[in-house]
Amino acid sequence: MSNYTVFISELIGKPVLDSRGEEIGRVKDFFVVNGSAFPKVSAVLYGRRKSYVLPWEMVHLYNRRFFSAKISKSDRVPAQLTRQEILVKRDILDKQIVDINGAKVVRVNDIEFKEVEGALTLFAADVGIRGIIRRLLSGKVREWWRKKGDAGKRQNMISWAYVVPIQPKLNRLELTVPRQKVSQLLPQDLAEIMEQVSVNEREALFKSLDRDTAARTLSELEPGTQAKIMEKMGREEASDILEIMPPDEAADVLGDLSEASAKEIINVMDRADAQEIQELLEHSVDTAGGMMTTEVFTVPPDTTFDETILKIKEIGREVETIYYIYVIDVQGKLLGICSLRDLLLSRWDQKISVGMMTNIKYVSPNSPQKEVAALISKYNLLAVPVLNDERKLLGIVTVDDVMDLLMTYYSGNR
Amino acid sequence: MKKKIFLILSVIGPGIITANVDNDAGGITTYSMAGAQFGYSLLWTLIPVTIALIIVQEMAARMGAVTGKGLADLIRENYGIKITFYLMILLLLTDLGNTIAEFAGWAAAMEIFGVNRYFSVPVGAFLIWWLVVKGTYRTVEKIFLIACTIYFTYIISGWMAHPPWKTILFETFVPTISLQSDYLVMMVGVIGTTIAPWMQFYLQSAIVEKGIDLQQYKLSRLDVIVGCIFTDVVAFFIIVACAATLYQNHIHVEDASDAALSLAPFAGRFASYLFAAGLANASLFAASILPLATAYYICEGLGWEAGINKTFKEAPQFMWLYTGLIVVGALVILFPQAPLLKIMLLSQVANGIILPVVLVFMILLVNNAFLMGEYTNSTFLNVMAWTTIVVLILLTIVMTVSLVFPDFIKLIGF
Repeated sequence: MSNYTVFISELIGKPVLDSRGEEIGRVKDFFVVNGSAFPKVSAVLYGRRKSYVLPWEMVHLYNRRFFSAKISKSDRVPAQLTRQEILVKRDILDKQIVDINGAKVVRVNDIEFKEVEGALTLFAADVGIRGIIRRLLSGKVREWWRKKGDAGKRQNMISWAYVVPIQPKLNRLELTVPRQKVSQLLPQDLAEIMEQVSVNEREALFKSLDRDTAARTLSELEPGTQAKIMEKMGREEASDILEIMPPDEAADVLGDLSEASAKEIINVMDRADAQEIQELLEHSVDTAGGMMTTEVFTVPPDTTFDETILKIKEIGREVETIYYIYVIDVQGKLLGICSLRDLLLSRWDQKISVGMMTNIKYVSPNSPQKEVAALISKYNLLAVPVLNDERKLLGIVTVDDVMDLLMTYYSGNR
Repeated sequence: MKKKIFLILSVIGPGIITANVDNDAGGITTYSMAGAQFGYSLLWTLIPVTIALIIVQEMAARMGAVTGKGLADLIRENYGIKITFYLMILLLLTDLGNTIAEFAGWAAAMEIFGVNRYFSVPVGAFLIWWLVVKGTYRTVEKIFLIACTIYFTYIISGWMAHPPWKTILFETFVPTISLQSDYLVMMVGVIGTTIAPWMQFYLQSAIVEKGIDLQQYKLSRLDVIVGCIFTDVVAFFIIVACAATLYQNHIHVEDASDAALSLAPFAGRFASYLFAAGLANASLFAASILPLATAYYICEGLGWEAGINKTFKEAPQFMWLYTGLIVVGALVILFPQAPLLKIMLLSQVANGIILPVVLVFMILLVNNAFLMGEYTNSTFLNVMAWTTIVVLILLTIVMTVSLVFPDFIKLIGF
């Protein structure tokens, strides 16, 4: 019987016989619990009007035609259902799941069980049209379809190893360790999945992410969605995630929230981060000041090239870009810019002030975003510095921020 | 203030659009005939009809905002694939029938302006196809909202007919009860044309695609209520226009375009053109929304990707369903041999079968605390909703049976 596979659609409604071979009900549903690799069936829910529970150990034999139990009719255990247990048909069948391999949301049309070491496990989700056909058919026609039409076809069958249920409850019970699985997805894909599922499911899915993934996914979401997720989260949690994000993006998210919620979140944030973000929030979103990030890689003019490289290794992950190195004096005034290429091609012991470019293209915090985009495009820059009237470096606007703007412009306010 | 207007605009749309499409070619025909045959005596039905419409639509909107899922989604998840599948087949049938009727209305209205149907139908079909396939949700919605304003033409042409306002006021608030079978058939028609199954699906899906959640729900409810009232105000003026002219002069009309033409001698050529323009707009508008709604819920129910924002590649079933319905709808009008009447009859019967099922599902789902939490119906609302639903179901049964056996109403003793 090992490797025996069967669909849930083939088992529901089949008679359950007691030890003397008398029918004591029909199969209604299956309880599952967390197994090692795949969730295991722990009991069968059966009955007619009233429901009873048959623990899996008490199943003597089962196949597509009937279940036989080791109990007699008088030993039936009435079922007391709360919404806490997980029932395959009630909670998984016909619901949406995330297919990790395909990185998309799909609906479960049928579920394949497989017998592994004496236990029946959830093995695969059928999300294709075959699953629908199988469930619509019955009796002889279905038997014919199973043998002729269906046998051996595995398209649109997703192994349970790549399935993440999105119903809030299933997530909480960690039926399938969703956290690990979900983190295999790229933040961009995750964001797209989140735009597709319902509000509650999105919230649950988001909460199941670790903080880093959560922060990166949040950056990729539509502005409206970002705000909705943040409003629903605990203030502490929200501030933790925003602290990980680049300050310009964090400021964008906060800017979409109601003023009260934004204030509450900023209040519990790390002080340095909070200040940076607050400064960004003061600028209007459609100006350089509103678009810029303040996490810039800067060095004093007397740094040598090899010292600069060491510094990049040290803090390079925390800044938005390392392709430009900004050279500033003690007052924070921008003296020059050195590209990563210049850096790598120069002599190692040379001072950076010798190799830097001093003809700087820059914008002011009030420059409209169109102007910023025009400048970046005209001079083929990866980033443009934002300077105030005293030429003090406030931040930079990177090409990806501008790119989003251009995309929105061309795709007509999507 | 600016923010507030933006807030309203960001929520408004689904309710108004759904309600307005209710005044489609079939609706306008029914109201025109009601006015022409029975004068002002059916005006009073519009008040209970508006209340019923608001009750049903509000439930759909609320479910969308709370669960973030479409009605087809919810039916599939809670009642399984079998019932969903057959429901979808029947919906496809009625919507195809209605789409054909819309194209017929469009062709007839354009002929009043001297445009040949072999030109107007392909052009109209292409326009609405192109709009949805190439457009985004926002642009499509904007154009739909503009289309809604064209319904004002009916209010103007009603006014131009110089109706006796005192009589109208009396007839609106004091019900006329007549047991004459023709009168009853027309009354059932007026009520039946107002609440159609596709509307609930479309409204809920649009709310979800727009991302309206509980915080915005109050505004969204306003959108629904205003939409329903405006729709029936338009219906009111259609009846008035036809009653003041055609009924007074004992002119018999067969359909809406007939009514538009017959208006000319009594209310002037301009009023007649306005009436025809309204019909053209309503028909084309509905010819786009109906296939759209159908594509939405079939994809939701069967687990395929759906959305105006998607492309053919991302959501092939959605786009092909939409395309197919429009192409078939338009083609049937262009082939004079097509069995138009039989198709319409079949579609009306399918409509009669589904409406009760959909309404019952709706009220069960909206009262499901697991889905709706604290947003289930209040007792008062439940009494209202059940009353509405029982009355609608009875009327639908009477209407459907009398469609198949035209003498039915006489047989039951009236």
